[in-house]
Amino acid sequence: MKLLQIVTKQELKSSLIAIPVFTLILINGSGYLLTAASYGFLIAILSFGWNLTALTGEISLGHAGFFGIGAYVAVISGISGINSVLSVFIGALAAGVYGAITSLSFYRLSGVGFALASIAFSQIPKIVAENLSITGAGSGIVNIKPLFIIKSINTPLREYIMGASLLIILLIFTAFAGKKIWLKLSAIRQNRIAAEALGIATIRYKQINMLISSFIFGFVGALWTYWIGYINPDTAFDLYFSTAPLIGALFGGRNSLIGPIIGALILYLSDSAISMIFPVGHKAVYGLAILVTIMALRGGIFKAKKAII
Amino acid sequence: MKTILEIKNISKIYDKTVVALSNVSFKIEYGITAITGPNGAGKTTLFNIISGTVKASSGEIRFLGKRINGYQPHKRCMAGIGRTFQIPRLFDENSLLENVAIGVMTGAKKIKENMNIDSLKKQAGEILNFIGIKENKYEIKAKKLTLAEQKMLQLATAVATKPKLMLIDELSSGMTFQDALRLSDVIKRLYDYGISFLMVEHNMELINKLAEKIIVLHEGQIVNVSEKGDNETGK
Ligand SMILES: Nc1ncnc2c1ncn2[C@@H]1O[C@H](COP(=O)(O)OP(=O)(O)O)[C@@H](O)[C@H]1O
Ligand SMILES: [Mg+2]
Repeated sequence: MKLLQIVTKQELKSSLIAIPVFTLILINGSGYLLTAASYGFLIAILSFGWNLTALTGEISLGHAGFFGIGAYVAVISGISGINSVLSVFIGALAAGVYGAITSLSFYRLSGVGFALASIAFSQIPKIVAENLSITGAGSGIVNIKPLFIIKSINTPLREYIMGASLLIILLIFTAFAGKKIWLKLSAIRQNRIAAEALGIATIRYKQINMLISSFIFGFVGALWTYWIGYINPDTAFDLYFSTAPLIGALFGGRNSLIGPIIGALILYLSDSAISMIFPVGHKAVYGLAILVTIMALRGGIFKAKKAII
Repeated sequence: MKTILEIKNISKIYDKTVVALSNVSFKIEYGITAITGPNGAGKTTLFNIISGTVKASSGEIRFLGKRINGYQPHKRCMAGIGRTFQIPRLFDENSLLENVAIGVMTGAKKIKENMNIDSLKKQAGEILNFIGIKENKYEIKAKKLTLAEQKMLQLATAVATKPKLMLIDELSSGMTFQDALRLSDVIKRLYDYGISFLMVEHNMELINKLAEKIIVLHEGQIVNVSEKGDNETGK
């Protein structure tokens, strides 16, 4: 199995704990727990997708833009009569195209410049959504029909879609991400100029990764909006969709494939658990995670000298 | 002799004020050419312009007869230009084998060969052996090496891309006499394999031993060009 070549033992061990826990909740859980698990998987996919950009060395602070585009484009295509499942992919594609435009327009930027430009680029679609009538302007669109419904028992499958999507995305990457690509990405990340001098088309790798990364965000954004049934600029372009995946990835270890997924799941789980006790301020978990990562776990939990798990 | 690289009226002005190169023109043939000159003469800038890391303010670069001004750095490497950096640029967290394997990938791509990671590393080992790095170091991280070793590793990564012309920037600086001797031997053997060299060098002994042609750069201009044999024939 190709995935095993690039996944470390520590990663595997912790995946074997975290993923079954969530899966068990998906199978046995109900109500709040089930929703929480699905939301955890949602953030985990985003964290994985965000990290594809980070694997080329760039920290994006604006991925919520892609999420929102995917959500809006899907809903609007759905309303205009396109099959709703197809509309999810149209939304993802639109986000991917915007991602490609983004990386084409600032391929020369890296580091802080890239991070700042990514914020600017995420604001443009939000402003557009706030001002068009087709997007419902500031008040958005409500009463969006759910995606899949088992007619006989009238149950939406929405709670299971995120877990299934994560699995499918991982399987697809397993098929492509071999050790060679992994090595090239680590070269680009560590020393772009040296990588170029050795014949690696670094800009192309950055663009391809950005394209896939934004596609994934659009895809999840589209699923999410069908899931919650309404959309408006503030929720679809919520900063949370830029920051939570980032923190999950940094916490989990951004130089690994599985790390961001595990990091995001752990953080989301802690966040939800704490929110039951402290309904206000539970999001401080994310701030704490950043502090811990910077101060004690440089490189994330999978880089820590003694694995926690 | 056939021209491998032609530099035509290259100028470089940094930040609108610092003139690093002004109207530099020269041709080099297959073989080993040395560039020397004081610090700040513009030698590294010239290398950066040839390899595409820095854009020239004006002028033209022809490699094997083709104008390559518009080529991105990775394309210049694919075309056959390899280089080292004055301050080594390595993939610090990767092993020596992995560092060289990244170059081997490009070398394999040039001859349209598809190699898996194991054969990439095997070839990387052969190149490291050729360069003279001991096998017990192959698996350690690049950042653990001494400066002299890092410079040799950098040479190995570039050689792995199967270049026709290597640009080497002050490789012997910071090396002991013995290390420099070893380096000179490696360059000679690589030359026997058909790789031409353009070397920025201060060590006159190395220059005299290896170079067929010496270009002296001073304040961004060529002030002297001499070829081996000039002295003997009394020119
Ligand atoms: N990136 C840069 N920005 C501004 N000035 C530079 C830059 N790189 C080099 N210079 C200047 O250009 C001149 C030539 O530098 P360099 O090419 O490094 O010379 P050498 O390699 O011969 O020592 C120097 O005056 C140096 O300060
Ligand atoms: Mg120099």
